[in-house]
Amino acid sequence: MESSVRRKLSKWKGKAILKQKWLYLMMLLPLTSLIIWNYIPMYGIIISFKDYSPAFGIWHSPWVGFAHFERFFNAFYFKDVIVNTLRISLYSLAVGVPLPIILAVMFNELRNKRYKSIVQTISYIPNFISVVIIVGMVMFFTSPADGIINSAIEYFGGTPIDFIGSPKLFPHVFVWSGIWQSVGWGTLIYTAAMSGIPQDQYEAAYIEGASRLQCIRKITIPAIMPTIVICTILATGSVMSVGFEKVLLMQNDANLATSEVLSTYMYKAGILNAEYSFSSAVGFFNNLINFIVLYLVNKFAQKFSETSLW
Amino acid sequence: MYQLSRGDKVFNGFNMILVGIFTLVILYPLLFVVFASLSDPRHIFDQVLLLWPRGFTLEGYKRVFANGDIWMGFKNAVIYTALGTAVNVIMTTLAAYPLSRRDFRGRNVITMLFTFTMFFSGGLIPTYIVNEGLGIVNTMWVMIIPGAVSVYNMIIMRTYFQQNIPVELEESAFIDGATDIQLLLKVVLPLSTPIIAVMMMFYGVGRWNGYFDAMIYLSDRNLFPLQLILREILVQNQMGDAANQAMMSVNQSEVSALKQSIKYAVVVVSSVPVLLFYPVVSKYFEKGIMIGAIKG
Amino acid sequence: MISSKKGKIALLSILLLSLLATACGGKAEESKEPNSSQSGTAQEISLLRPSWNNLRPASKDLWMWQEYEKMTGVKVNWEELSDIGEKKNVILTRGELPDAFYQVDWSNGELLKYGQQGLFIPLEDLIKEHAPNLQKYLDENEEVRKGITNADGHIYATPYLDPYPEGNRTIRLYINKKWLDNLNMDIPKTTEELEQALNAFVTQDPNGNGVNDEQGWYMPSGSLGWTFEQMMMGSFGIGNGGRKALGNFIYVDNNDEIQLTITSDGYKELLKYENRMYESGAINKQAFSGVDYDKWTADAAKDTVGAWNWAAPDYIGESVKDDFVAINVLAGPGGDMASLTDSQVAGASSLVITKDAKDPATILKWVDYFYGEEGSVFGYLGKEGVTYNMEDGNMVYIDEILNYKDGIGLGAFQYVDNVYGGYFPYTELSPEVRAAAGRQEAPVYTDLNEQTLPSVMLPDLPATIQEANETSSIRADVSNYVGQMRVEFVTGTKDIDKEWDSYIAQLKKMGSDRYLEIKQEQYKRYKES
Repeated sequence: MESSVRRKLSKWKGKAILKQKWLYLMMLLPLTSLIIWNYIPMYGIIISFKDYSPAFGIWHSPWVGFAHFERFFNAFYFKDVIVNTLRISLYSLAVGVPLPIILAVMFNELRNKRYKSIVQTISYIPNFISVVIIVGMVMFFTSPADGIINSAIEYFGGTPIDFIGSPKLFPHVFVWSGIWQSVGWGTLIYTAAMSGIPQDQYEAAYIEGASRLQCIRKITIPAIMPTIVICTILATGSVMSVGFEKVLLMQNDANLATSEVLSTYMYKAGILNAEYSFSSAVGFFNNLINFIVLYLVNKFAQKFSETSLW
Repeated sequence: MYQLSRGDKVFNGFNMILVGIFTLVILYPLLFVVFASLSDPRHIFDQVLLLWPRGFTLEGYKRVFANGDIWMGFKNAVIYTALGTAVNVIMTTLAAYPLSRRDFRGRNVITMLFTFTMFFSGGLIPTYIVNEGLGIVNTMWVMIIPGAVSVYNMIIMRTYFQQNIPVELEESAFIDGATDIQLLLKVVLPLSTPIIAVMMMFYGVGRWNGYFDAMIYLSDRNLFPLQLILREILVQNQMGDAANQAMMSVNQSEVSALKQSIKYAVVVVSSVPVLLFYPVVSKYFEKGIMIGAIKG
Repeated sequence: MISSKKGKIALLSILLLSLLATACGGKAEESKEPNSSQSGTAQEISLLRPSWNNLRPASKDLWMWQEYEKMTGVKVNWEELSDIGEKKNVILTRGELPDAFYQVDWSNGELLKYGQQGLFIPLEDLIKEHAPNLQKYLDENEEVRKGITNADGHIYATPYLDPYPEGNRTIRLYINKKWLDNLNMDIPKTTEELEQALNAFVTQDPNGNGVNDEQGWYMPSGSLGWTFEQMMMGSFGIGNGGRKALGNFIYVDNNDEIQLTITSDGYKELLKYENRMYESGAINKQAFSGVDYDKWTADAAKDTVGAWNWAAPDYIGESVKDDFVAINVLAGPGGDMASLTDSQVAGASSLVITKDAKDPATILKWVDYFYGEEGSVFGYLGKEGVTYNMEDGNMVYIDEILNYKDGIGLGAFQYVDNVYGGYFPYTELSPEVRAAAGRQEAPVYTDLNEQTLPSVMLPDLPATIQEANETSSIRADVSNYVGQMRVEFVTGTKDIDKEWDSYIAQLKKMGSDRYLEIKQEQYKRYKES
């Protein structure tokens, strides 16, 4: 009996590839999809190095080498735009990565099932609201003339603050309104990960007299650690990307000094003037940096934790 | 069941209050939208707080429901979301499971292949050419088939499998002579309902809220999903060159007033279906816990 | 057990594959269709246009186009797309382009580039032959001919023409007449009087509600730069050249030379003027951020707006629009005045014919009607007895339009297309006729005449491809910087006198000199053409 199991096991390990034919078969469909919609169009990257015109098509447009990149690097606002982008995205990361984790743990600790489910549901709703409406509300709530926030400030004897018209405050307003919209939704992944924790682990810890905080530290957090690591790595891969539509809607001449980011700059300098190649070059540069950052962070993760992307 | 220690009671109370405050902060702007949708648009900004509909009117909702486009868009969005999410979840599972197996040869290379596409793409034009070549431009299929796997979601799912499916379980299944596919269907998936629920929500909401592909690939109005119709109402003319708007001045106010009167109602109408979706899916979180307990 | 599982898997894969397969199958049918329809009569044209379907019936169902099909025998296959700005470049990659783009906004640079590369066809000879109404304008009106001729001498698009500066071509200042009357003040004639009036508005409670809620000049945030400021450029001696020129930071000086507005002494004075008014509250404190259109109209409905700019008073909302009176020009400190008026070539890319058009002549014949008087009336008013009736010699919309629930304009838009101006290929009707159609009277302006109109109203100056490339990036930077500095100068966070030199130096660094040089060159070419 014992030996037959052994034999089967060793057979399974030995002829791995043949044995894994089903796994490869499973991969077939997703890989086909990847090839058709991601790798076949990949040749489009070359338009960053060409002067693309629809009249000639991608293949027959003339090559220009690194001209678009040079134009971008030499642009007057190049440095400001990069700094602004990094400021907002790093700030978003610093707040946006830990907060959903903390919130998910808090949700998880709620003992009243009904309360928990209501609270969780409410926290997801902002995610569904159009960014146009969000920006409209931000403007109304923060208005120095009659917004609720400034009315409160005045009530307590302060002077009204022009949140949306100040370059200093723009990153805060942008990031926190984003948190308002996405933090609840961000807890979903962690909630799912926590649902996999066997309840008896907590019970055992209780019997041994562990406090709730100790349970969180010793059981909950380690259990969701891989998810935390993966989400963090993935988040760092968008360090150069700051959503375009919301920035553009919140942008005005008064806060432009900090609100002009790569995507809005690209929109104004490239897309509005139909300079497809230029936009593409800026996007390429953008993602190259993103990829390098992700790669490095993943390397780091490989070294210091058990979880990594590959 | 258990004797709660004093510290735990304090912790519980504190936690409940904190979450309560957080919920209020989230809730008020949501209520604002609901109240605004029932208010006369001219009176929304009358006072600092909108605590109840001001100048109560159902005009916004009447207009929304009288709009044939919105119903049609609704129907299309339901179809695209249901079919699209099904394709997404199936394909993502098919990719995530093999990659979660530490013994799967080539998993690192394939993961890299997937990850690479998160950052580098040929852009809109070659993708458009591919879809045109497949003949799916301006058909419902362009809303369903492309983009079957989101790499981000796939990696999340893979991580979940790795974390929550004990290797011993897989090995014992093999000893019983199961194939990988049987293993996936009989062992892995039943243990993974929470992550499948999350995937359904992620993909489902993404499909429901997405407008960009529809905007680029659909020109037949009868195929438009709800979000594209809503976008016309909310966004059009908002990002254009301001100076050009002066050319639209005659009776511009009529168009704007029309939009104002329905924009909040539109948001409410479009979010409700997604909200109804959540309680259905959330049951699977509970199931996951039960199974988890059994397995432990 | 196992086999049933296998069966399920097989079923699943078949299902997925069949999804892909049907998709491909669908394509084959789809692509045949346009071909077969195009092989029909030559009297069939395909036009691609932005969608207005959220406001009114689709073009194929619109009364006007059904009627016009009966009149001409030309069947139009409309393709209507929203968000055309994002899509237009993707559309150009299609194997087969539509015959023409209708009301799609192409920049001068795009027109020239795609024209020279053969995507768009030159129209000047075709116009001569097939478009007599438009040709008449080109022959008789040099401004129109120069305005639509590109730097390579070709015409690639037919325009939207508006011959009436008293119509929507001019941005005016609307000031609250009710408040002026309450304070016993006259309508301001100079910039100084305006300042006094606005200061009185914000301090003397002209709406009489006992609360200090009055605003002076007040509009949605971000409008100041291209409305009020551009209009005041005329008063500070840098406003000649028309709205398009000012939008490109240039004006025409007394020696008929192009100069930059943003580096001129006049602009410096103008900024000081705005700064004074901002500090005193005569210009709203939220001029640069925080107020959107909804908020503004809601405030306006509460009678708190003193002055604002637009082409017509409707913009502020039905309930208060009649409180305001229009000012076209104000005399500045040096006695200068010029209205903020656009060129009569208001839109320069209204109809563009592509290389794939099988019968360009038919398209031009089809569109030319709308450049003649009869077509102008048809596009705005429709047909007598159907969409309008004669009343005391005036053409007046039918009651269904006049009583339309969302206003007359939208009412008319349910029948005809050319209600809203901009970018449609046609000649605009006079403001009198348009007002009469809604049983209204067009406003009569005593301050808009030969003397107060700019002596030149330039279109976007024709540029070579190289010039367009060069200026577009300089312009983007300059526009960004000037926008930021305007805020700092007007709100007083930077002192105008102290910082002016470094402001100029910064602009020079961005290439403002080169920009001016190119514009001067373009103007010289324009005059000689």
